[in-house]
Amino acid sequence: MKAPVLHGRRSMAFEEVADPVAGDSEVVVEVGFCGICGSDLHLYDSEMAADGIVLGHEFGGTIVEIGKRVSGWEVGDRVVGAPMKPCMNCPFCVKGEYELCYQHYRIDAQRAGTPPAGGASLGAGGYAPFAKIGAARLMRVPDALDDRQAASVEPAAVGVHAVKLSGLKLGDRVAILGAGPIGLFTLQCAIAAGAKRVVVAEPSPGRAALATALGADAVFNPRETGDLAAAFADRLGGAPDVTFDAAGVPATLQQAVDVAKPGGSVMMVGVSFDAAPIRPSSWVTKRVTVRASFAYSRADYETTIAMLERGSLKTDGVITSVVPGAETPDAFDRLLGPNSEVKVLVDPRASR
Amino acid sequence: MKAAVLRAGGRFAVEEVPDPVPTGRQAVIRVTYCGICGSDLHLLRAGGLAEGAILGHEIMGEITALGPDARGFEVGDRVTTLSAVPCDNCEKCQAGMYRSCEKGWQVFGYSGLAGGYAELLLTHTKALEKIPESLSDIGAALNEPAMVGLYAARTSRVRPGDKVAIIGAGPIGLLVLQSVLLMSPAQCWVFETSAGRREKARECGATDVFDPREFDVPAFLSANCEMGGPDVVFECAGAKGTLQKAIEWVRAGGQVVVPGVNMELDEVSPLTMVGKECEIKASLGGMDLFRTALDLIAADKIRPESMVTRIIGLDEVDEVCQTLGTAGDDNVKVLVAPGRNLR
Repeated sequence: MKAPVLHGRRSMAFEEVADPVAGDSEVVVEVGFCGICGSDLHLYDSEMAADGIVLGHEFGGTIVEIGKRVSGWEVGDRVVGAPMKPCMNCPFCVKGEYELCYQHYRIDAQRAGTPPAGGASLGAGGYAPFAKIGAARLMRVPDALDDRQAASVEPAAVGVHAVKLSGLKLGDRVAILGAGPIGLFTLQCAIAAGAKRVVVAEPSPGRAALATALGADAVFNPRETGDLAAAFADRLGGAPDVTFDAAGVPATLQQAVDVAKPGGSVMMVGVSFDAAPIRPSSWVTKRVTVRASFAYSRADYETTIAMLERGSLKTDGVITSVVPGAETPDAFDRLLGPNSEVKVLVDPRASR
Repeated sequence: MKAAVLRAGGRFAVEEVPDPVPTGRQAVIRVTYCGICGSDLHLLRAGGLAEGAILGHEIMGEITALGPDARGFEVGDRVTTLSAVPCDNCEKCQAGMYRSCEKGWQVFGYSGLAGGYAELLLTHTKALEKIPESLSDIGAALNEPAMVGLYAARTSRVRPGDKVAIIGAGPIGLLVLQSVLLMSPAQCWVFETSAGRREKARECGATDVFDPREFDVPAFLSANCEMGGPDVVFECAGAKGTLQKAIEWVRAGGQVVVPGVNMELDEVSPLTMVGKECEIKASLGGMDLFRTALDLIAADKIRPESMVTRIIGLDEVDEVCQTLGTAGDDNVKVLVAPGRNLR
């Protein structure tokens, strides 16, 4: 098969690679669509970009081959790769902190040679027409979800996890910095969790319009809004109880603290690979709690699929274009420059 | 009265200033001791204070005069005061709703309100607590920083049996240590560069104390914590770069508590934070714990007296404020006794 192979920083080529063969405890799926993730872009643009790997972890597919020791799955089943069940054996599981179980993603991410935040490896390789997934990671995709929605489960679960971890309560005022895919899913989850009002900061007009369509009470362009904290507080009827930093750039962390309510909380959802400049004295005088959210658990995946089925999470409009597999390298370069895309899906079947 | 007044270039001069006169529910106290706080020094060195200011907000003394409407206190009472007071002038204060003071409670030494590096201090009866007989003057003077440490410990997630690390054994680090020990962690390690402060941390009951410059801290922590690091790290050094260290040392899912004020710009790595889903909790306050801290000191559960390494007169404020907390200075807590060495 042909697939876009990473070769180093800003270097990717669409070339022939071996077809995956299912190990004893694995299945091979034919990929439906695979979303291009911001973390993949960060990695592609960093010195951490490894040679010889196929990225892509936002995908769903149909099982075409089953390993000898796999039971309970059949060729033709529609699936996504999900975090594993808590192992019940690592120190975190023993302590009851199942969301931090090594097996969810951490060890796998290390084994795959990718930095933890750079490609939580739920069976990476989704930009190829066929990909392997460990049977323990499989989760069934209900018929009600189409292939595009299946490819959206992963990024949507990031929003689900962040909102769950934030402790957002019914009636809270919420602000979200950044209306990329993660920001937009976080927005929908915050509304579903009972936020009284939600405001968003987003410079791209296209993304801003989408945030409004998906339920934001107001969207401000941070480059044109002199005092973002005042604008937020005015629209929310008070400063935000919970502020999500979903922009994935270094500068927004301090900005999130600046707009937060005294004693409020800030959730880091997006991740920047560069150090974030901060004014620690303002964190202390604001009495903020800043919490980082990483990926999701298996339970978050189940929640995400249920919300997509119910319609409380929508992918409408979030997916702005679909490119054939052969054009993946071009799409990466394009997305690193100024663009008005939100979520771009790769369709590996289109150029097999 | 005499006071150490802030002048150009961050220097202090002992000057004669008018005696304060209490109105409404205000009170004047003769200052016995006033602690020199790290925040004063941070702000001083950052150039963030106005010329003419009289600093000092860790204060105990004796009431010498009361406003006509003051109730519940008498001249001669030994008292300690909160570091901030209501204005006593706005509509809310007039209605007795001091917590809602329209001007917000102002901190001594900042915003033009004269503080405790002076013989007399104008304060408010709503900010005062009477000092129990059993409590020493020095212990009472340090009730304010004790409250800061107590608040940090209480706002943290520390539970009995946890593993805890404290970065910095200045006054706040040592008071956090004493409060955290009341919560029975399995281990509480302290990391501090000054030998004198390390000794104090040992005296206060730290499980072990290390100089982080001469020690592989991450290797030590991962060898001694089955979760990969301490459950909670308190960042009490307030120096550039230590917050990132705290994030690197804490375990996945752990908590970093920050009671120290670092006035400098700093950096943290989102990748480190996100990779371990840790939390940074900034800790400020504890006005509601003012009485609680006093009770704990009176019960000998918190012992701020042990931190005091020097007591000075007003004429030494200038010299001490230049060197306190800088490299090579092993002082921990310095108290100003304004009644001393007066010419």
